Formats: sequence, C-alpha cells, structure tokens
Amino acid sequence: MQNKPGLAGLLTRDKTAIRPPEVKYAHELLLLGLFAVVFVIMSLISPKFLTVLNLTSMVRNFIEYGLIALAMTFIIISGNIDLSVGSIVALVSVSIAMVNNATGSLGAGLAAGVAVGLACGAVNGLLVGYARVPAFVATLATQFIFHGLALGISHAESITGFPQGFSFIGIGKILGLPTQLWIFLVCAVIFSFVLNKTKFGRYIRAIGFNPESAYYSGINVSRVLLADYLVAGLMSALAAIVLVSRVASARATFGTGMDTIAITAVVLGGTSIAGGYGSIRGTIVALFLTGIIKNGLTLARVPSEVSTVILGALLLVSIIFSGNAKSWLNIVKVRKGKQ
Amino acid sequence: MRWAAERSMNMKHLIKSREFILTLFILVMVTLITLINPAFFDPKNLMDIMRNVSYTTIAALGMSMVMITGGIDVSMGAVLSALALSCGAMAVGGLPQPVYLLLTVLLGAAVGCVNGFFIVKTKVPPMICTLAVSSIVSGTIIVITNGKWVIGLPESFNLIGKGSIGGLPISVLIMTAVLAWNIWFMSRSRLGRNIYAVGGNPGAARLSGVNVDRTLILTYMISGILLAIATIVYCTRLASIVTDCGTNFHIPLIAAATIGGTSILGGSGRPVGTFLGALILELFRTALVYLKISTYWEQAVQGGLILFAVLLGAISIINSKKAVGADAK
Amino acid sequence: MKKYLAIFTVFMMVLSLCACGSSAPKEVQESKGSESSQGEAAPGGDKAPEGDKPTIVMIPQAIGNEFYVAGQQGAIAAAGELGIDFIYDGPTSPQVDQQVEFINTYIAAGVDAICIAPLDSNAIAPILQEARDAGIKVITYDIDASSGRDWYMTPCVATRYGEVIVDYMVEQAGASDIEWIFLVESLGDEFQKAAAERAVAYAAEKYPDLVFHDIKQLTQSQDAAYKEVTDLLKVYPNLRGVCSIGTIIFPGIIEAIKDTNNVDKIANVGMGTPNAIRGYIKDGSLKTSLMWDAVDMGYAAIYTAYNSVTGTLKEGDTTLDCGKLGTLQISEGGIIIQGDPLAFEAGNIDNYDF
Repeated sequence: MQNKPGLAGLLTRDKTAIRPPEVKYAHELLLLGLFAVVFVIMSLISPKFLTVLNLTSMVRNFIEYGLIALAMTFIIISGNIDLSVGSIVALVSVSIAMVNNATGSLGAGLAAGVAVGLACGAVNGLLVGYARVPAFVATLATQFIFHGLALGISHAESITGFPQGFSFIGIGKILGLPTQLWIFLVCAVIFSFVLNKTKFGRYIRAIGFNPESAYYSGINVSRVLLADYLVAGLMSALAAIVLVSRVASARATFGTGMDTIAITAVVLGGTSIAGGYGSIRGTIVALFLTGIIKNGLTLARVPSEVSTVILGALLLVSIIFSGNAKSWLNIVKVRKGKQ
Repeated sequence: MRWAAERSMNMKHLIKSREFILTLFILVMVTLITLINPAFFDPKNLMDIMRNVSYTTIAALGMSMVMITGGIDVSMGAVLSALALSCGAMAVGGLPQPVYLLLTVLLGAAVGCVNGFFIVKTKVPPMICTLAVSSIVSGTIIVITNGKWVIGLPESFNLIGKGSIGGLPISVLIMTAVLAWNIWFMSRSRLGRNIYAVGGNPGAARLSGVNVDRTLILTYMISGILLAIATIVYCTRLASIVTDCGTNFHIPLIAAATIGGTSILGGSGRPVGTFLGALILELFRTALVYLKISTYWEQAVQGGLILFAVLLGAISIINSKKAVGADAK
Repeated sequence: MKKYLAIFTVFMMVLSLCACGSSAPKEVQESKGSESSQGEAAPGGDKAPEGDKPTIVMIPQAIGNEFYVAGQQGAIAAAGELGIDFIYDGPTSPQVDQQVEFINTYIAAGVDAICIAPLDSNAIAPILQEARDAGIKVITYDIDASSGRDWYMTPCVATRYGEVIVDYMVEQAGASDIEWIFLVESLGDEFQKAAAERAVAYAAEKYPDLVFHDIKQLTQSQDAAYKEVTDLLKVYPNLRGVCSIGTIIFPGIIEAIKDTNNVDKIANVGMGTPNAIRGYIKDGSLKTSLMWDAVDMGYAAIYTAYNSVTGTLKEGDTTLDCGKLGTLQISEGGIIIQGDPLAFEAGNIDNYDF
C-alpha cells in the first residue's frame, strides 16, 4: 500500500526489497566473461583498439542508446515495450532547435525539449496504463505520430543555430572522460537504485510478473505505468540533448531505429521480455559488449553487414546458453498457475 | 463439448460485432473520400485497392496465426526480402516459372520451420528469436548480394502480380482463395482449433492432449508458406528486386492483425478481421493521396488514423475479455 | 559447463569471422583484378595499414545500396591505379548517427583520408571537423557537408540538374504548357531538395505556361511508388509531365505510367541506374534517364582524396588531374565537379554497367 500520495510515493525506499533470483546472475556472469574475452581479442587484433582515443570515441557512440536502454529496461520489466523512443528523440531534437532559434535562448530550447519528451511519455503512459491499449500497438502508433509531427513542424529540414558551448555535452570531457559518459553513469546509478531499492522498482516487477495480482494487491497499476512511460520520455529527451549537442543540429530523421537497438541491449542484458525480471547492470554490460564488438570488428575490417549477423547470433546464443530462457518458462508456468 | 460451444458462441457474438464495426468504418471512410474527391469511387480504382491489399492480407493472415499462439514474428520483413531476391534470382537464372515459384514456397516453409523449431526447442521468447533471425537474415542478404539488385527479370515473371483471368486480377483471386481457406482452417480444422487453444492457455491445451510443440512449429511453417505466397504476389509486380524491399514489412502486418481483432496476447483473432484491418490501412494510404495531404504531414496523419483504429479495437478487446472472463497474462 | 561452451563458441565465432573478414567478400575487388588492398592477412584480421601506402576509407550513405556500390567499383579501380590501402565501409541502414559512429572509429584507426557521402549535411559537420583536427583529409562526395571538409566531389551540380531535367521533360512533351509534377525520394536529401526547388523556379522563368502541381515525396520503395503514382494519375487526370529524382522509385513510376497506358501521353524523365532501366529504354517505355556515371563518381572521389593526402591538390587550385577522367574543374569553395548531368538513352545505354 502507498503511504504517500502520487508519484512521489513511488520513490520511497522499499525495505522489503525482493532479491532477484540466482538464475539471473548466471546471465550477467556470462556477459561479463564474454566482455573480458572479446576485449582481449579485439586488443590483440588491432593495435588501435586499446588507445584512449578509440575507447573514448567508442563510448560516445553508444551513450545515447544507453540512456534510452536504461528506461527501456524498466518498461520491459513491467511487461511492456516502447517502440516510440526513437521518434520521441526526433521530435525533441527538432523542438529544441526550433525553440532555440525562435527565442534565442538555449535554455528555453532545452526546457521545451524536456517538456515535449515528458508529454510524449505521458501520451504513451495514458494509452497503455489507462486506456489499456496493448503496448506494442500503442507505441507503434505513437511512433508514427511523433515522427510525423517532427517531420511536419520541421519540413524535414536540418536546423542549426546552437551556441558553441552547447557542444560540450556531446564532444567535451570532464576529468578525461566524455561528458555524456558522466551523465550516463549518474543515470545508471539512479536507475539501479530505483529498481532494486525503492517501491517503484518492486511495483514494476510485480506488474510485469502479473498485472492482475499486482492490481489486487493494491498497486495502482495505471499510475505506475504512466510513470514508467514518463521516464522513458524523459530519457529520450536526454538522449536527444546529447545527440543534438554532438552534431550541432537537429532533424526529424534522428532516432530512427533506436528502439530496436535499445530493446536488443536490454534483452541481451538478461531482462526477460515477458516481464518480471531484469537488471540495469545487465543492460549496461550488454551495451558495452555490443559497443566493443562493433568497434573492434570495424577496426578489424570486418564488413558491417557481417557485424550485423554476428550481433544477431550473439543475441540468440546468449539467451540460449544462459539458462535465462528456462527460467522464463518457469516464470510463465508459475504465473499461469496452470502446471 | 457443450462448454466449448457456449464459449465459442460468446466469442462469435462479440467478434461479429467487431467485424461489423470495422466494415462500418470502411464504408464511412469510402463515403467521405468519395465526397471529397469523386474520382475515388471508380470500379477500376476499387479493384486497384484490392490488388494492392492482396499480398498484405495473405502475409497478415500468417502473422495473425502466429500472434494467436501468443507469439510474434518480426523477421517477416527480412525474410520477404530474402524470398523475393531468391525468387527473382531463380527466374533470371532461367528456371521454369512453376519450378521457381514452388521452390520459393518451399523456402518460405523451411524458414518458418526453422523459426518454429528454434522457438519451441530453445524456449526463447518469439519476439527475441525472430528479432535475431531478422538481423541474421538481413546481414546475410547484403553479404550475398553486396547490395546489388536483381534485374533482367523475364517477361513471364510478372504474370501473377499483374495478370488477370476473366477480368479479375490473379493476385486478388489468390488472396480470396487464401482467405477462404484460412477462414475454414481456423474455425473447422483440428489444427486451427489447437492454435487457438495453445494461444489461449497452453497448459490446459497440453493437458487436453494437444501437442503444443508440434502445433507451434506447424503454425510458423504455415505462416512461412503464407509469407512466401505473399512474396510471390508482391515481387511479381515489380520490375526489379531491391535488396531491402521488405524492410519493416512486418509493421503493417501487425497493425492489420491488431486492428482486425487479433490480440497480441494470443488466443483470439479472426481471418476476416485481419483482412478488414489490411483494407483499412490501404484505404488510409490511398486517402492521403486523394486528399492531397501535404507530404510532410502524411506520417502524422497515418499514425493518428492507426491509433484511432487501434483505440476502436482496444474497446473491443476489453469487452471481449470481460465477457469471456479470460485473465490477462 | 554450458557457460564455458557458450564462451568458447562465441570466441571461435569471432575468430573465424575475423578471418573471413580479412579475406573479405569483396569479390568485386578480386574479380576486377586490381591490387587487393585487403591483403592476405593471417587469421585474426588485418593489422596496421601496410607500409607507407595511404589508407583511404570510403563511407557511403548505406552499404547495401546499389548506387553506392557503383561508386565502390570506381573507387576500387582508382585505388588500384594509385596504389592505396582502400577500405569501403558504412552503416547497413542509412542512419546519420551510425555514420558518425563509423567516422569516430576511423579517426581512432588513424586513416589518412575519409571519403563520405553524408546523410545529413549539418549533423556530420562536427565530427568531420574532428577528423580534420586529427590530421585526416576529409572529402565529401555525392552530397556535401555544411562545413568541416577539405573538398567536395560532386557528380554534377544539383541546381544544374534541376534545370536540365525540366528541359528534357519539355522537349519530350513537345509542348510547354502542360501540367507537371516533381517527385522525389526524400526531401531531407539536400541534392534532391535543391534540384527540385531549382527545377520549379527555372520552369517558372523559362516556361511560364507550365502548370506546376507539387513537389511530392514518395515512399522510398518501388512498389509504394507504383501505387502512389497510379493514384496521382487519377487525382491529376491531365498530368502530362513527370520529373523525378530517386533510383528506387523510378522503376515504380515507369511501371505505373506503363500500366495505365500513358507512355505516349506523359513525358517522363527521372534518375535511374542504367542496369535498372535498360529494359525500359529498349522497349520504348522510357526515353531518357538523367543521371551521371556513378562508377566515375567513386573514381573521382578517390583521386581527390589521394591528391589531397599527397599534397598535390592544394587550396586554391582550380583544376584536378583525374586519371582517366581527364582534368576536372574546381569551383569556388573547394567543389570539384565531375561533369554535367548525363543522359542515358537508347544510343548510349549499353556502354554502362551499374
């Protein structure tokens, strides 16, 4: 039961946090082992791999996906999905740029972007949480709508006009590490904390496990899902800010395909697509693993289409061998209470 | 048996009303567009619409079957590209038409079997398995073709896509035949009933003697065959086969099935609904051209229309769930 | 046990794919007989670039795109003539952030020059500037970047294309008071946008009696274009002229005009690769395809890059000696022009293979 009203109540510390089952750790260990192995291989293959320049630029490449993947982890744990994140990035990017140009103030632009991101998240949350539209179809439709809006208001043009200092987020460094990496790390810590130690984390796991019983045990499912999607909208906005800062421009074509990459990272990281179980740690390791594979293969002059095949196979292999699949089946059996 | 009969009568009652709503929606749309632009209501134009919707319907029926079992197949886009390229390549290579058409169908069946087999034996959730297959297939396509299109198709290639018999386009005839078969299959055959059972409640299905594994594999195989037939109808309309012609093809399929009443959670869905869903999507697309909507706003309008149709559908889903008393996953 | 099995499997997978990656499926390269720049590297992939050959990487908008594959052919030929270490790599789907990713990686790999066909002229500029700051020569080809590049190799000037295509359409129609329309694949593509807008303006200046309807963006798919053009012909029943830019949509447009029996009534000029439209030229459904030699485009891009790296090509030069293409003009702003738009017609269609 919630003691405090509203969304704030969801963030209270949960003293009875359920420990995730052992089987999940197996998957994470596998990933970490894989990461170590691949890292060593890549370093051996190309002398350029283990350079500061390469490692920092490699990290920059996937932070945007990472920010979205963090939020996507929550959404998938709750048994849902969000296909519209890429389109939200597009719409937010365009909004930031247009407001920046219209008001001459970057701050106003950023605020507008965040507002737009939250609004989009709210739309998704209302559709899935309150109107009970299946998440796949709802976010599929909003994917079109948001992207279409971005196209419509920007006329498919690229918009510039940002102050020089803005690039700091995307291209700058703090204490030797890329700025966006710090942003990502802070977010990762917050997300991990929320998932494992607060009521909200427990609620989304419960909803993912079985929405009906979650409802009957007093969880306001609709509100939690709304918060879930608001977070996704917010993180998409953040990713958009990093992206726009990196390329010093905005266009409605940004963000296409980000949803698939984020979902792949989440699932590769051990989160069950059926909902109920998952970890932020896994998502982060999966992200880094995918990053070094792509980077290493490119340096090794492996054609990018072959990379695509390898990553697809990796997804399959990791799920099969980690035993995660078996646990999913157990969950489904238990949840359905039928066997 | 009486228990089953009662259940199906309840479902039939509700779903009939859903299909009724969809048909009504279509009639309203057609009327509105015709009022704005009378050129729309032309027999030739209407037949064109049927022709356009033919391959989407056939493939959507396959997707619908997969969704009814509680799964999903996001590899259909990449597989369509692969099948189309193979079909074209075989035609250019000089194989006789019946041969390469048959081989394409067999290839589709094989891919479906592989998907089904993987999903059943490794217990990987269908979405992930087909997502991985999609990556692998699309990467492999580029490795094999290096991006080159298949060109130089023989004249006879376009027979199915563009030909007519007795005034009716072959593609429409094929669609009608497949649709009729699917309606019979899903409601009257044992395998069809098993598909609903597996999707609705796999545990109970297994306990009542249904071989769940075999049903699933067969479902994916049939879906693969349907996809192959759809690919044939699709690529025989073309002059050359582009390497990524099928990209994102699975999206309208899922949309069509969902609008038509197939629940993404499994257990319900009817072929006629899927057909109507596909028809509505095609009408949306055509309407945008006839209404001269500015290019920039097309996508937003399309998304809005899909959302509207989906909301219509969502109401039906809630109603049907309440009435039948099924519990959500 | 399973875990170790999995790790071992992936290990072998990665190793073997690296091995096959270095003797890469760049059969085009091998079969052309030109010097294989990948070398016979041992399993484990290629190491540092060989000797003191400059390393030049070419990044198209997307890997599986036949148009850019043609450019690759020309580039490989040039690489062979000049003796450079040539890499062709890029995203599997045309995403601008993926292009940025590739450039990042190649900066770290320390190549000597990058030839890129940007998807987004503005978005690519910062990262290109970073490359230049790292000492890498940056050449854009096909589409320009808004800044951050040393040279831009354009197959033809976009605005010139717009003018020429209108001329061809009017000539084919035999009248200058027809209704016409301009179709593109993507309004986000700078070339298409510039050409289309110039075409409309030019038509208004030179052929004031033409009735212009719209610049319409079609879905980038042959089948969708077919459907959309069929519908457009019903919406505008008196349409007599169609100009289009887009190699993927063009066959769809031609088929739509063909199937509605409008070949003789509608003047149709667009951009199609010779291999894709040869059939139509031969059977008379199409008179002209306006494009350029995409193979030469890649050839010229590599020549530009090479000369830039060796210092032969310097700021302020007005011409470039481009091997078998002869001398190319360089216009202000570092723009190297491959030539005028090239018309593929019955007379010359068999001379090209891409």
